[in-house]
Amino acid sequence: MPVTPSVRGLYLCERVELGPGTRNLTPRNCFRALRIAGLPTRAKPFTVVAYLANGIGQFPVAVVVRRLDTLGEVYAARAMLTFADRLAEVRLTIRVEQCVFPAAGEYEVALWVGHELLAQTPFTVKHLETTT
Amino acid sequence: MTPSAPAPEFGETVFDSADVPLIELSDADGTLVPFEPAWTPATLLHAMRERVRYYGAPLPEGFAAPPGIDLDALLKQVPWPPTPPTAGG
Repeated sequence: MPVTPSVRGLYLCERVELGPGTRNLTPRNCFRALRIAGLPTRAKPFTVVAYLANGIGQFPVAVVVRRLDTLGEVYAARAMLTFADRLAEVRLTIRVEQCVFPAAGEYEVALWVGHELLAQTPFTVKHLETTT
Repeated sequence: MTPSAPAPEFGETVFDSADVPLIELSDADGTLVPFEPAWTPATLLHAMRERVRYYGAPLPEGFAAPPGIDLDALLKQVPWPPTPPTAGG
């Protein structure tokens, strides 16, 4: 019988580094805001990191980025994942390269497994003033 | 007051995650594919509760109820408008 995994943490960072041998995960530049020049535009790639546990079965795992002022969705992508061992923690990294931000404001990244919202975290998009 | 014993030396320690499964997904290599999420009562209620925190109201002006969703029923579940503080006695 499938059991939806629970989440132990959800983090936003610029990138992750994987240690050779140890395979330790090191999030780099964990952030709470993105300052972006030239909105609307695609942001530089960033990574969503989640630690999942206690799941068994096959589930669609989705990441959705939503604008909180208009409630419009700006990014949604998913993959089908299999959780084979209920006792094993699974580390999940989601590299987002195709997210276009339409405007400055408050946003939210949400991680869904099946129809269940596992975790969400807000962040802010601000204009980056550039000097030409 | 008795003096505390000095802390023992650190033992050799290796930080390790070699046995922990790692799944790496990306929208650049096809492991993550775009889709269009549909509003459900649960997703909309969650978004409305979040929005209140940052924008003071659960819905933007002119927001139309998605098909099959009772917006009035959801609004009753959102802590809004904020309750005015009661006068002290």
